[in-house]
Parts: sequence; structure tokens; C-alpha cells
Amino acid sequence: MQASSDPRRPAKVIRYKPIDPATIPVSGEDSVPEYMNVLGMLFSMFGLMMRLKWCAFAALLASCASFANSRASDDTKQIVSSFMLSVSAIVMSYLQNPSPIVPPWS
Amino acid sequence: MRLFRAILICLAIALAVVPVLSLEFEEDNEFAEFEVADEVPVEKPPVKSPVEAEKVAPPKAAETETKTPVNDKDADDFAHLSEEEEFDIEEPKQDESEIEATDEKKPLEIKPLQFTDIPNHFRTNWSSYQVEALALSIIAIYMLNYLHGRQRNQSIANQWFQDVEPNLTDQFALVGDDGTSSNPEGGLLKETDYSYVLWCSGRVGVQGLLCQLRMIKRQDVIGLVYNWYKPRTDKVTYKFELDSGELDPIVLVLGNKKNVTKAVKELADLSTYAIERKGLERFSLPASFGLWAEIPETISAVLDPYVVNLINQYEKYIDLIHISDQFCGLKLQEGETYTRLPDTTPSMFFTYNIIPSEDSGTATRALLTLSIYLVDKLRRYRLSREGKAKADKKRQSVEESYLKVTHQQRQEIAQARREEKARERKQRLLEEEDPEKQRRLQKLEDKRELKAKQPKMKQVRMK
Repeated sequence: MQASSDPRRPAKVIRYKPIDPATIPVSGEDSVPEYMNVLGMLFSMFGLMMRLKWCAFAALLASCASFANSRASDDTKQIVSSFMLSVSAIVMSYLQNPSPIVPPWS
Repeated sequence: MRLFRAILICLAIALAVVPVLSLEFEEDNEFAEFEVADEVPVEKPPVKSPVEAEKVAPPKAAETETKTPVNDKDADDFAHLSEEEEFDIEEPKQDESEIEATDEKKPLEIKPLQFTDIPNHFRTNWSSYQVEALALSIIAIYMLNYLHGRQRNQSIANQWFQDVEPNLTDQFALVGDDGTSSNPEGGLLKETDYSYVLWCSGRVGVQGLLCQLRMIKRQDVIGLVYNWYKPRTDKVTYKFELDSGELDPIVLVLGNKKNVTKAVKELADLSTYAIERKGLERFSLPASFGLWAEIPETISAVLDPYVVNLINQYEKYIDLIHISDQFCGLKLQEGETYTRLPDTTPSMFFTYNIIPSEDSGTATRALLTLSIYLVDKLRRYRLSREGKAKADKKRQSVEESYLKVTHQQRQEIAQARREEKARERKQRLLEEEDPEKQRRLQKLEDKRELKAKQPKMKQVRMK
């Protein structure tokens, strides 16, 4: 193995090109945050319209999952808006009907 | 994932349809209430006041559901409603109100009263909100796990970076680049909470090295469950992009059998060029390893004693070693074809597992050294004449087959154009009937005849 000569070539430096997520087709494994986002929005709309409280809580969980799997290049706006939507679904459901969800074990 | 999409679409459709149906149902109910309510209110007020005071106390005690009489109005409703409910129990006690009560009984009995639960205020009965507490605790656990998992992944990444940094700074002029700032800066880049990237550049023979750390999704509970179901390890992939012309025609992949078969299926260059090699005992490779190569002599070039020794020593750490001068990405899906020959770059991929153990640091360093050793060795390696001839022949045949496919396409396009032009000419002929323009018709016909005759001549000239 060569050890004497320095393999470094500062003149040959090439800059890193971050892969643009918009151009690359998203593979199934990596598109979890998008699915979670859509699921969260669906659940919160369901919860708001049908006044189903458990839907609103599921929406909050889905937006948490979307946040956990988000990429560094992702918009924070989208994640924040999905959080806000799920919280609003919960709040609206409880304003309209403050009674607790009937537990299945009672 | 397709099933998932289908489920999402069904949910969306149901979401759109159900509210419409439910609205109609509610309207009927509203009307029903209005219709029946007219009869009763007139009779109630005079009866209420003497009864009220007596009725309020017993119904409180006898209430089965939790209802708090908040103010007078609510108490009235309660008293009135509970009067009807508790009527059988109350009757022997109150003689005064018996007559009024019996008078009331008939109209009351006819109308089916529907109770609406007036729920308690939040603060008075937290204990009944069990399901909510459960849901919030699930979310709290999820967020705690997120913080813990993210921290864990970050520490693994930092540990890896500490192990490899000295070696990389010796080999590369630039270690760590975020790609955006004017001066190349930044070390390890965080892509997601479970994957990190490091770019190194500025070395003889190598355009750049991209180190990708893919870890288990420890920050996501769903990811953890998935991992429990299908266990994986944290992996680091060193992708060396070599300068063109540095690497002789070599296409070789070796590593864990399962991963090797998967790589051969997925990658275009391996599926085109590589052939499975069996009988790896003669190379002293571990039994769990698989090897696919284009030309047999390259195997012995790659697997020299130093390499074999390291492979056997760190068998569980080695996932995949892929060396190719024709790397062009993933294989195309069935039905898709290339419109032009894909760009290939000579690349070498080394995928290693990061297994937390005592000697993981030494393993990481040793395997990085192995990777660099192989890069330098194969840069200098030259195939024998026969090997090179065979490889070049194979590459040419692949190129020709691509050209054939594209040539056919081009021919089809050219023919279609010619046919369209001929149709246009025919249309013009049919439309033009003036005597002056008949000369043009003749000219066009002459042109056609000339064109029909000449192409052969032209082709000869071109050749």
C-alpha cells in the first residue's frame, strides 16, 4: 500500500450536489412522511365533519409520525400546518361535545 | 403501498359522501322535534312551580346519570324531565301534586321524550376521560421515543464520524461539504433522523466519495415495530466515484448471499454483465458469501491474501462490495426502454454493517482502509489481453443492442414523417383543380418520381 505519497489533490475538489428530492422519484420506503401527512389530514377532516373524537386523536398521531420521519429538506410549514389541523380537529370536537369518549371496556 | 393508496382513496370518497347523508337525516329529526313539541309546553308552566321545589331534591338523589343542576333554567328542565322518569317512585310521596301529575301523565306519555345528556364540566370529572388520557399518553410515549431514538442515532453517527475522520482527512483534501455554502464546509450532513451523508473530494483518481449512513428508524415507533419484525443493522455505504478511464473493464460483486442476489436483480450493470461464480472455497471466502463477476481473472485480482484475510476477520461486518466500470443505476422496470445510451461512471460501492460492539471502531477503520486499498489497487490493475478483448466485445454487443432498439424507433419516426408529407401532397393535389395549378401537379409528380429513384444513389454516396 502506498504510504509515502500524499493522495490528496486540493485542486481536484468537486462540490457536493445534494440530490434534489423534487427530481428523484420517491421510492415506497422513503415516502412514509407523505403518506402520514395525507393520512393525518384525512383523519382530521373526518374527525371535524363526523365529530368523531378518536379520528381527531388519530390525526394527531399521524402528524407526529410524519414529523418523526421528515427529511431535513422538507418544509416545516407543512408539518406545522398538519399539527395545527389535527389540534383544531380535537378542539372543535370537544367544544361541540365535551363528553368523554365511551371506553369499550365500560 | 398500492393497497394503501386504494384505502386512502376509499376513505376520501366516504368522507365526501357520508356528511351529505347525515345532514339529511338530521333535518328529519329537527322537524320531528318541532312537530311534537307544540302540544306539551302550554300545560307545563302552571304545574311546575309547586312541584319544582319538592321534585328537585329527590331526583338529585335518584339520578342514575351524572347531571349537575347548574342554574334555575336547567333545574326546571331537569325537574320536568326527571319528573316523568321518576314518576312511579315519586307518586306515593306527593299527594298534592298527584292530580296535576296524573293530568300531565297522559300527554307526557304520548310524546316520546328524548333526553339529551348535558355533560359535566371538564374539571368536575377528569376520571371519566379515560380514553382521552390513553390517547394522550400514547402520543407522549411516541414523542419520548422520538427524542430518545434521534439521540441514539445521532450518537452512532458521531461515533462513526470520529472513527473515520482521521483516515479520510489523510486521503481527501475536502472532508464534509454541505453543497450550498460558498466555501466548502460542514462535516456530517443530516438527511433525516435516521440517515446521514458525508461527501469527500480531492483525491488522485477519485472524483468523490459519498458516505451514506442508513440506520434503523429508532425515532419512529412504527419503524421500531417494523424492525422487530424484519431485523436490520445500521449500514454505511462508501460510494467511490472514480475518474473515467481509471478502471479497467471490471464488473464484480461479492458479499452476503442474500444481498448479492438482490443487487444483481436490481442493478442494471450487474444484471447485464455479471455471471454467478460458484465454488468459493478455493478463494477461501466464508460460506455465507456469494460472488458474481464478469471475467474470472478479476476475481483473483480483487481477492488477494490481504483482502481475503480481512474479509474473513470481519465477515459479519461486510454486507456488499460492488465494483463496476459500467455503473448506471437501477435496472429499468419492465416495459421501459432507454431512449439513449445511459451514462456510466466507474464506481465502487462498499456497504458495511455497523454493529455496536467493543471492536466496532477498529472494524470501521480497518474496513475503510480495505476500501481505499482496493480502490488504489484496481486503479492500477490492467486486464490481460484475452480478458480485455472479451470485456470489450461484451460491451460493444450491449451498445449495439441499444442502438438497434433506438435505430428501430428512429426509423419508425422517420417513416411516419414521410407518410404524413405524402398525405399532405395528395390532399393538395385533390384540392387544386385550376389549370394553372395543374402544372404544379405535374411538377409534384415529377418530384416524387425523382425522389423514388434517387434515394438509392444518395445512400451509396453517403457510404
